[in-house]
Amino acid sequence: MVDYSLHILILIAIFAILGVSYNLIMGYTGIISLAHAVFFGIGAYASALLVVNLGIAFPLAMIVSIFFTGISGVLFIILMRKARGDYLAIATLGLQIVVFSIFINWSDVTRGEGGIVGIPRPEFWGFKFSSVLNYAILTMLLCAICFAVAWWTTHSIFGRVLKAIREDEICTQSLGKNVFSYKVTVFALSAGLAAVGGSLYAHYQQFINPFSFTVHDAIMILIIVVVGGAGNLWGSLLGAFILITLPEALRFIPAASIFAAQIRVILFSFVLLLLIFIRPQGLLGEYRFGAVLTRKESAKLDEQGIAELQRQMVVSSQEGERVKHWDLNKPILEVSNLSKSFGGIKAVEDLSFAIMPGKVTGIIGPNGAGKTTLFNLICKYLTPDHGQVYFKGQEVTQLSPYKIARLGIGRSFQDLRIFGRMTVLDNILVALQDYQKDRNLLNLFIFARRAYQQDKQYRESGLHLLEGLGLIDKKDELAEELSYPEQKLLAIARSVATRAEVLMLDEVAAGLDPGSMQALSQLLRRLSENGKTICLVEHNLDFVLGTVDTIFFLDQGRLIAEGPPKQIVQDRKLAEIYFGGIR
Amino acid sequence: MELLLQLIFFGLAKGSLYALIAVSFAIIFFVTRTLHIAHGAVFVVGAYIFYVFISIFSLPWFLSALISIPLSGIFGALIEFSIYRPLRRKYASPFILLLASLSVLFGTPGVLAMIFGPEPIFLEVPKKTFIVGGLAFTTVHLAMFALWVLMGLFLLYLRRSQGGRMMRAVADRPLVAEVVGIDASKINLMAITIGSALVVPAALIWGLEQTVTPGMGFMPVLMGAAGMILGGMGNILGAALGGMIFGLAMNLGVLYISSGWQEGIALAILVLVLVLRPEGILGTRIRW
Amino acid sequence: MILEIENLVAGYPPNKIVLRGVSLCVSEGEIVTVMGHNGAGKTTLLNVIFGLLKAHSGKILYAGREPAISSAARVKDGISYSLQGQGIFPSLTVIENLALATPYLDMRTDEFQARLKTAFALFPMLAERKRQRAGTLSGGQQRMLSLGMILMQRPRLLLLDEPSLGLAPALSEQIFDAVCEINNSLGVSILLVEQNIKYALRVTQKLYVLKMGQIVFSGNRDILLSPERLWENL
Repeated sequence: MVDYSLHILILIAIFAILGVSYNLIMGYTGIISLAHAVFFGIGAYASALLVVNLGIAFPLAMIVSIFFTGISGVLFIILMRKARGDYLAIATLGLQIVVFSIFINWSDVTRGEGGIVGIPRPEFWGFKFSSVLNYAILTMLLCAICFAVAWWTTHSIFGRVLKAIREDEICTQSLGKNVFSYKVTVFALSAGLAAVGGSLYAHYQQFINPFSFTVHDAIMILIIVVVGGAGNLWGSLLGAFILITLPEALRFIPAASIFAAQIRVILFSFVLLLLIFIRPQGLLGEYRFGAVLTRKESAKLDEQGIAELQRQMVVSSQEGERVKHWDLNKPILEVSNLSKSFGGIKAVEDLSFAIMPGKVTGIIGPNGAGKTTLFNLICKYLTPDHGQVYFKGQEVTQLSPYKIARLGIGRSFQDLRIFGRMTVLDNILVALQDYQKDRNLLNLFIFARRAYQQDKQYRESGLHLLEGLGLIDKKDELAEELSYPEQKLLAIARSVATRAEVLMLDEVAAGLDPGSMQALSQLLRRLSENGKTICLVEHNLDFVLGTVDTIFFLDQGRLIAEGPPKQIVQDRKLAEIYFGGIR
Repeated sequence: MELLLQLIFFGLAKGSLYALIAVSFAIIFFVTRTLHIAHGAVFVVGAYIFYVFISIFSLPWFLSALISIPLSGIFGALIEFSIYRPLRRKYASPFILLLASLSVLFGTPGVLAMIFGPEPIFLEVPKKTFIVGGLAFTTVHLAMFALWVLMGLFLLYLRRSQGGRMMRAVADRPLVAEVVGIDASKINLMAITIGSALVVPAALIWGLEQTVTPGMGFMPVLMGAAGMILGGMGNILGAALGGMIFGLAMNLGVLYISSGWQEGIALAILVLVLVLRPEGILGTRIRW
Repeated sequence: MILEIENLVAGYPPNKIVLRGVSLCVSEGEIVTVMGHNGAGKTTLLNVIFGLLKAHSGKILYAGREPAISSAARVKDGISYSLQGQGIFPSLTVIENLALATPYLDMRTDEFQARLKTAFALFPMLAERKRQRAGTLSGGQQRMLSLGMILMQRPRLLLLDEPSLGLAPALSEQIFDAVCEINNSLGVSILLVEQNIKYALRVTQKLYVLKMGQIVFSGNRDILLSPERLWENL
């Protein structure tokens, strides 16, 4: 009986490792792959073949297998680079079957259907792990290590960016993070951890064949994570426990044992359906216990809020000191002969202008004038057909969005795009984090202490910023629970936190009540006084007139007027264009 | 040369199976915008219903086929009604819908295996063999060619009838359809019922050609999806074409590659198409 | 009064409020225009009236009673909606589009043929291109097709969202002529959302200005004759 329990324990530990590794990519980064059994299998085969064919001893075999599988993980995500959403899921499903086909058919290497037999139990430092008890201890130890690795990764500054990628990839790019490199890193890590599970499995069963690494097994790993809660590592332990013991428990019911295989499948499918309908966040969910979930009515930024905003100025000026100095007489952002057409329609045509630092510029124009297209061209979400964009004298036309963000251009989005299922503080921290340092996973582990200190520093800055904005008591609330004006504020705060020198704000006043709009206008003016350059696209003329120094008037993709607000407003011709009439 | 001709003949015949599966999968996807991989469950259930009627109720095969078609349609409608619709009302993401579909796809064979046992079932249906000009084929192959006729009729239905028009409208612009007064949820139900009924002849011929097993639906539905994607998302004709190309390729492939690799290679093509050109070979121009 | 709205509050989930207490009314046979900058809530207003979006609070009365719950039912009741920038099925032919405007009316009936005749009378170019795929029509022609589809529905109240959007001036004039005709000869009441003064001037009698979710001006069309005043209000 004891041996049986240990046997179950070993299986639970192995699948816990698999679950935890899968949670990293599915739960934390939001990449839906239905092919995780691929890494399980590659890890198992690699380890087994190294021992059986080349006689390499166990610990080394596992380590080589980890690296090999990690590389396969990298190749996997590179292949899947362009696929999105449920097409990605189908592609991974297909890939899982392709790899299974390779396992079965490439008999020269994998020994085909028969599989690899005679895998010895590990033996190192003169100690042989031949008894179940010994092996159980080894497995538990490795499980704990894998868990710790995953835990540290997800609770570090690196993990925070993973969650941001899950929430909104485009927005994460706009904060200066190279999203793809994060994905590659996490896939390498996840595949490597899965290899540990695979290796342990191979050396435990002492034989493997392709039928342990099928689509059904990939689905099982998925269910393990979903049951426990995507984004919750303890949940994956719980999930492994449930999915291993439940079918085993059924073996004890004589009537059921005949149908053991079928019942297992039916059970898993049923559990999955049940979870989807009743509790998609899994048994443990993602959030910490005790998070207060109250839905806010549309609140306003009131007098108190405005006073808090003025305190923000203090923080801003500290930030301002870190901004590199740029000559106030030279344009900070320049656009030259910019053109972009969409299928024959000229959205932006031969546009040239210069924006001076430290000023607030408003871009207005009737519908279809090309304002949002212009924005996207500057922030590099679109490539122009002709023309150049210059930032601080450097040409930046060909850069990708995250690079432009790093250089110092931050943006807000029309549809807010805050990281809803992350806390308010985390939203700010993602923006604050330095893109150079936090991307390197190795640094995270080798210099763990330093990383921890760095994170503390970030937290302090973040809390400071939140205080200045009056959001400090909401710091642990989920961003999606905030009221709309508060979310707006958070989005702007995030852009400020990136220390961007130029803020491109797209319809930032939309959806606000008059009081909040007033407060926002004041905030923007304060930011500008502290050296930030602000560029607004707006339809709300009241807001524009009260906030900007210069107006650019766009019509049909062309710049037709430029000047101080008073001048633009008094121009009758422009009024007619804006409201229709002469074209 | 003769071998090649033979293989093309059989490829076209067998290709009709994949084409029909792709077409039935595609109409559901275009209208409901759901990747209904549980279609594989409908596939296998259709075959088992047929088996029940010819073996347990001893009905002639023609009648059994005729009954299993609407019954499978109802099964598909049931999935839409009890699973997809409630989830959509909760604003479930496409991924959640896919997961739910996945659980039906994997759970159904389990139930079928419990009821009928996991062993393959051979369908007892009278077959005649013909030899024409050196080519040997059976009534089953004739039935396969009949599937092309069925697809033609379906296309006609889509083009000419008001029901077909409404399905195309919802597939084209769901918001405009709603604004014009079309009840989208009724049309969704209609699409999945028709798609589920449509795939049954393919399932029956598949079961006749090979055997009926609980897991027989998995590969066909993936191939059908592959055919649809290969042919370009948004195009029923493309789906048929894509499906047929798969069928042809699989059969010609036997010449050069051992049969074990066939599925792997076919799926590798699917994966490559998905990651390199998700809009398929014929592109997204919706042309019915 | 074909349409009465009182204190409408509405917005998009989870927490965005767009309309903050809007009241307006449309008399039978009138064309009423709502103007306002982007984001002021104009399209949201139409969405709520048609039933695509539920209001948080406030009253809507259609011909004196509460309108039907679903959009499909409201179409049957006589409310038609012309969506901003779209309104046709590009992959279907012109005649199929028109047939779909009355999805539950058989094409072979006299009623259908009569309605078709009216539509072709107003837009002869549609008759010429019966079998052409709607997606291959020019922008202006597509707009006409969508109005033709509206005609097929024989509405009492038409919600029209920026019919001139993206069209060249000459075409826009044609569209607005058609709008006038629909109102004149068929007696359709129209709630029009429009940003362009010139076109609004052609057709409307009454004007509302919507700003940040509230009506800030309601009155006669004469204000449109001096655009500077409009700057102030927008």
